[in-house]
Amino acid sequence: MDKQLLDRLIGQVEKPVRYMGNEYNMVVKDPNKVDIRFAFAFPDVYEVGMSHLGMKILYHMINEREDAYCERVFAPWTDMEQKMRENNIPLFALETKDPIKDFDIIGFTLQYELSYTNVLNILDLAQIPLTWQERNNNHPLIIAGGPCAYNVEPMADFFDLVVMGEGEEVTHELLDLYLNCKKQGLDRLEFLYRAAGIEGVYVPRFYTVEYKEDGTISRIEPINERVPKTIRKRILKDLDKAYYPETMVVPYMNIVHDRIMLEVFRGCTRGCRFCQAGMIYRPVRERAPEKLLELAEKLIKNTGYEEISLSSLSTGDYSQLEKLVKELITRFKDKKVGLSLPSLRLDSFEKELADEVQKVRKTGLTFAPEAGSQRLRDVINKGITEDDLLSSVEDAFKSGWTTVKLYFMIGLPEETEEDLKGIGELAGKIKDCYFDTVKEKGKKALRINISTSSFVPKPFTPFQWVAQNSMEELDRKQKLLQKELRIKHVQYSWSDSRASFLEAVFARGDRRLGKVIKRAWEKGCSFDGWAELFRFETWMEAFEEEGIDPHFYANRQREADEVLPWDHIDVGVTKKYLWREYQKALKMELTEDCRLNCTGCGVSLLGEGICT
Amino acid sequence: MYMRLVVKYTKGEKVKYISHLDFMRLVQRALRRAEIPVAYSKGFNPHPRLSFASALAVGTTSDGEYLDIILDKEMDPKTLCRRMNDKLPEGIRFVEAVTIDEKAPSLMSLIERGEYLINISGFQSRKMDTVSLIENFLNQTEILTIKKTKKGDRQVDIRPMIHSIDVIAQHQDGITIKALVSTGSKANLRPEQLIEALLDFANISYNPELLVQIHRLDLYLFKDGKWITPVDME
Repeated sequence: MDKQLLDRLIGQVEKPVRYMGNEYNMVVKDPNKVDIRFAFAFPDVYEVGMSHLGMKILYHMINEREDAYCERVFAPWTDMEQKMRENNIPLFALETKDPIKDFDIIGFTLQYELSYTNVLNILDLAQIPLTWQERNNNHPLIIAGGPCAYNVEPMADFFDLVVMGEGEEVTHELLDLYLNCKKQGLDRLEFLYRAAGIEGVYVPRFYTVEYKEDGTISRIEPINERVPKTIRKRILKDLDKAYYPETMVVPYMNIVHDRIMLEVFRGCTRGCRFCQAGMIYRPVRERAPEKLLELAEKLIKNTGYEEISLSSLSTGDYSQLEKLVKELITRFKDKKVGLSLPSLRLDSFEKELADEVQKVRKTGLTFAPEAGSQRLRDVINKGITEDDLLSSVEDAFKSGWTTVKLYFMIGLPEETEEDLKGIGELAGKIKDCYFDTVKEKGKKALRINISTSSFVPKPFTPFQWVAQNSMEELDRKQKLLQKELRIKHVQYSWSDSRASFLEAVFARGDRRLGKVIKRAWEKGCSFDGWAELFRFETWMEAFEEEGIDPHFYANRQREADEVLPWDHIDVGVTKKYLWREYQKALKMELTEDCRLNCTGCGVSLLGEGICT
Repeated sequence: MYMRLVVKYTKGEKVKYISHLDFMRLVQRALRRAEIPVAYSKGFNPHPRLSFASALAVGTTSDGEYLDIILDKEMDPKTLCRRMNDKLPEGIRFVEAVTIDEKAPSLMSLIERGEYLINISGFQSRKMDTVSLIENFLNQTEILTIKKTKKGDRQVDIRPMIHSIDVIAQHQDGITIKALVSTGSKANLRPEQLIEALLDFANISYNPELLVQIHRLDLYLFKDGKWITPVDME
């Protein structure tokens, strides 16, 4: 490859640092001295991909091995893609700028459904055939992981194997096996059979899916006895013993999450019924505060970052949050390192903590009540009351906050117009609360930002059987809210219902959707998650041309006994439990936080002593 | 107890596409990694007391960049450079640091000239004698160029901002020149503008096949009747 030409082209596009590499802490190795060249591919632009914690962990973890070199690859933005295609430059890894088609393994992380066409585009730009049927022993092995991997069926044609669950251990097992097979001269198929024997590894081609006349699935079967009937996800038992990087690549450009991320725990015990992460990442496993402080110390020293964030699904639930926050603030105040606490659940937000954070740097205040009424919050098991919310907001106002962000979902099961109006009423109450609280102090500009996303039913949740609202219905609800939220100091933003529809199609899709994804990509779809590049009409044409009805996937209510496309995947949480939770939702019955009492989800069967 | 230092640094090939804003953040993070006792501004949102002599265009490399930093503890300038060089990305070096009077004006306001090495290739030389071309170019009493501003296009005479041009090399498909031009807050000529005017004069149309490489050699200020670089201010 002409690296000088590449350097020139980089100079001609927007944000050249996206393609430059050479960041501080980038791993440099001699590619000739390793046995495995691994490309970690994030199917979105650099600044999105570089914000992803999983990539940071696996990048540095693989690179600790002497026999492997892990490099990074992202989706080039359209201007760069055009230059690359015009000049026949194959997609390259940032570290060496070598074409990834010459690598051993390309590992994709699937974070959201609307990045699927980018996976195809990356393969194509890399000059690698898209489907496993078209590839041979000489092509790189194409693998995937991440939350969307739990129902990877729509992408089954494109991957050789998929990893379910946490990657820290299984990645090493896979690399060891790969090396072993390479040394023995075994072919791709034999490698895949052996890989299928590793817990957490799913090889889609080893399973057949049969359909009924009505389009639903009749059965999913392994093609022979060499592969397991079900694939069980991988989890780590002890996070304190698990690998966590002590260094991170420090990007030049401003990325989405441009700070040190300290992962305080995995899993969540809340049991919100819409939340896929809350189900698939169970059980909860915490890191000890001592371990986190030690990591923070090293990460600040090694990266020079000016900010730390505590990351998890529900950081407010960390059992030693207060201790950790206080200690982090005292230790790093002099170094002018700030602390931000994202995704705080309002019922665990404490005023004292808010003040502590403020001492260093004032970050935005975000709450996620998700639904506008108590009744609907009970349906989704979001155990938060209006009083909790208002008292947290009041405390925040007293501490000097003037901007509050609130997240809601529309189109939730059992939602009525009253619930939507409840969002408007809540906004009004927050506004009143502000003027009651700060009237003496001289009014700063209050801002209440309300945003709604449209509910997308996800696999492995109690709502996996539910029909998504039609796009027309969602649009009507958004219009209603625009009217309800015409309040001074309140700003309302909403998400495109057409994007949510497509997300719903692929979230619960089956293998028949692969050809639609391919067709849409051929017709020019990529970066579907980016409003300015999203081409809904083209997608609809692709469905039409492939004779697939997308509404069958998004807007159809499933029966209790329907075979779901992901039934052969075992995430620990049982289908029985999920159905029970769904039935409780319909009766507005709450399920308690399972830190208090085991609710019998089934995940405790994955191992002893990890689920307490 | 504050200590003010002027640092000369380089920006090489591997980091040439970093924008000025990103570069400032990069230096701040490197300072934290190197545990340099930078002074912080007072106030609600403290920031490190660090400023740069002149912004360098994206894509331009340099051997003579300068920054101005205030420490709140004394530190040997050599130690500072050594510690920073351990913590900077490949392509950026702290070459030299000197202490200056804390009350001296900002570097940005002092800099008046910049010296550039410019390589233009990708056009077939039409047996043009570059030396006389440059001579003729400089013999013009005025060189009018169009400057695009928010209020519309404006004509600017760039001749007074060109102090010298020397031909360093002539090769088959291009030339290398050294140019000394005005740089700074009083008068500023971007090397790109100079190149455009020069190509225009030589009747070479500006096209994407042309490969233009710009490298800044140094920055100068005028003090006590002499042109000196900022590290000579000590």
